[in-house]
Amino acid sequence: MNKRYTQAHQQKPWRLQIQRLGLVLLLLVVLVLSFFMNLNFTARAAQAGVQVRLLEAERESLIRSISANSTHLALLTSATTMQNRAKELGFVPATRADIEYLYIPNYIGKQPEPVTIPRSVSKQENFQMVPAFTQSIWDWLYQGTFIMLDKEGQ
Amino acid sequence: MRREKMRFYFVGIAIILFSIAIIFRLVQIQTDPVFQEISEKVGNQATYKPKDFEAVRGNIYDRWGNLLAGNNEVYEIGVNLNQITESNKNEIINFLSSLTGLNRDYVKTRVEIPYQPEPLKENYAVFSTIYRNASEKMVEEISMAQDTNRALYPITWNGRLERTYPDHRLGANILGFYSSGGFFGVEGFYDNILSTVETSTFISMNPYDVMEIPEIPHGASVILTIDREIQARMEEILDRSIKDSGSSSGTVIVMDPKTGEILAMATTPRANLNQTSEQILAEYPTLHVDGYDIQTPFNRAIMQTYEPGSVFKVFTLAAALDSGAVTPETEFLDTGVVNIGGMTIYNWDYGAWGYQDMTGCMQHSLNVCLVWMAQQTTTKTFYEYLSAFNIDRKTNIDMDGEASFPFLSPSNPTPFGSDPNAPRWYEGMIGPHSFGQGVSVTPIRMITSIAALANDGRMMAPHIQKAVIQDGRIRYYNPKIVSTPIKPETAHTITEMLAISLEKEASDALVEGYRLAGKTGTAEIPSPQGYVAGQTNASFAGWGPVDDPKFIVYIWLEKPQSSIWSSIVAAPVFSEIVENLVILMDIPPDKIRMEMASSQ
Repeated sequence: MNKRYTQAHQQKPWRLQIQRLGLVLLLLVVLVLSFFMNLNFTARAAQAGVQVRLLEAERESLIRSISANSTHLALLTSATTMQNRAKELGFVPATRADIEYLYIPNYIGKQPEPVTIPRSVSKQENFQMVPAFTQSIWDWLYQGTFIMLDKEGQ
Repeated sequence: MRREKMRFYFVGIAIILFSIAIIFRLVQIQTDPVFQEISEKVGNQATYKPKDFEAVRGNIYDRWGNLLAGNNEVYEIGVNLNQITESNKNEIINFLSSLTGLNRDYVKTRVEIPYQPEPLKENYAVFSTIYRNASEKMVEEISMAQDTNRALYPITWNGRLERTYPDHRLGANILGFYSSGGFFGVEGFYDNILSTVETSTFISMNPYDVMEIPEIPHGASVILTIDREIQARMEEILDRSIKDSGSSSGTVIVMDPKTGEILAMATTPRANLNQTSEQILAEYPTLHVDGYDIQTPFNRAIMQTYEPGSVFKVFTLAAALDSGAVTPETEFLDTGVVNIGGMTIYNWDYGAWGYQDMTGCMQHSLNVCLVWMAQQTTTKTFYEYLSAFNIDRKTNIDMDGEASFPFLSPSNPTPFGSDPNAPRWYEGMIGPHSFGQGVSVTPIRMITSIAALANDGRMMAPHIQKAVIQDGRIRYYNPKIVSTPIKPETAHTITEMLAISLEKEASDALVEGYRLAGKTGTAEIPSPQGYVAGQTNASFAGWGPVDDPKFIVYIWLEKPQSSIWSSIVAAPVFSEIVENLVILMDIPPDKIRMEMASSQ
């Protein structure tokens, strides 16, 4: 008797309708979720893309700026400028009479200013962009499928 | 009912046909090559932009790391032509004209260039450059003006690097200059490593497009052997000496004889390198001399040959001593005149100096004695020694534009061809060659060859590059021995003889506390009509300290007016140079050095 009630309950038209509606709603939710996820990722990708462009422009500008600043520094410390500054401060060129030589053990003498050695770009030339940055989801799916099939074939 | 159905079917068929027509048209548009081309162009114009990737030219430093040539940021100001309208045009023209100081008509012409976005068209124009090399201040002014005036929005600017020389004229002859390529000096010689290849590519404006941005490696930087302080002091001394002696030009080279490193190389004229190439070259005018147009050399030290005169006698002495033809004590009876190959040769004062040893011959710079010395050496051996000193060759210094003049010798008797009127070598030429006439060399050739006498007979390759910074590494130049023309003992003997001759002569070249060796050279100047009376080239080559040479100096004053004699105009310049060098190079007087050496 209980078995028959259960069967009747399961076969109730409204129950079936609810089940179908639930399935449709679930699909809808999944779709909406996918859409928003896609929107979110796309927006983030676009933002990252724009940011990359901005950073590249900033990097270029910084390279120019660094170069210009070192040249500006060199202009401020050029031989003529330094001589004029020394004269203004009351210094005069030393003569042999002004110099007293002392023996200082282990004195290694005047050392050159450290010159900045820029990083090597040759390492960058070997840099290969990871495919994940350029392939679409379909590319990824196809590629993944082919790799999987290849592995199975082996 | 049937009629209603028919109407329904008719509407349905019409809708289906219309849909098919739309689909057909869509497919047609998608596959039509004309439409494809148009859509691609339109799409590319919106999503792709051409971009130049500028390479950063390498810096040039002196030996202590002082920047001698670098890059400064400048801006190129222009207008976006698609944003130019009748309403904003005049305002833009007025603003740019007043900001840049450019002629209003010129600015108007540039602003009114018709906008043409099609790259393949001849009149392609999307941006018009109005002013190059604008300063940051100018750009800031534009930015401020745009904040208050929207009409100025079409004005834009792009930053780029411009070659800049912080010391303006200092070492101009060494550095050369850059103007879309390196010219002369270091800029010219090392152009291929200072610069790298620039790239231009289309960049996608679509932020979803991830693409690799080409990374242009920076140009290599070059560290020179030049000492900026020594260079500045040498230029100062040279300029003053030229003025005091009334010379037409001058050259001073300071070298380390043990390594061949050039510490300073001062010549005249020296242009301000922070100018346009036309302005720079205008400082080196073409002169009309003896019916010939002669371009003023950018760097006389390596680009101009001349007859050095008596300073060349050191090679004759070296050949005679090293070959064993004479010893320092060999005596020579100077009669004041000698006849060789039909030429009568006199001493500089037309006097006869009687018995002289070889040191005396050098001390009094006796031409007759030097001719005899060369004859004692024998012609073959004499020229073999000159060849061993590379007198007939370039030094191959790492600077652009080194000159050489054919050297007449038994191994190269007719360098100007077989024309009977062309100069050719004959036996009698050993006479003038023995005292530095009839031979034409550059100052760099002279100092390089003479430096062998100050370096145990080893001749080092002259060079200006100390190191190169490239690919994140620094590579140092290894000094190279070019040849060993004489034995170390001969080099020591000559140094000692030349030191004694300076001391005995009480030369103006001497410096108290330092033992120096040196030789003067006063040479007549040849012209197509013969040697010019009353005009000379005054030279001096000297090195020190004698026991451990740290420097060798070569001086050349062209056509001095105050006196024609090198001992009067060039020797005091050597003394002043050494006075400064010993301070700048931290070389204590001989006595103190000996005391220090013994206390160690």
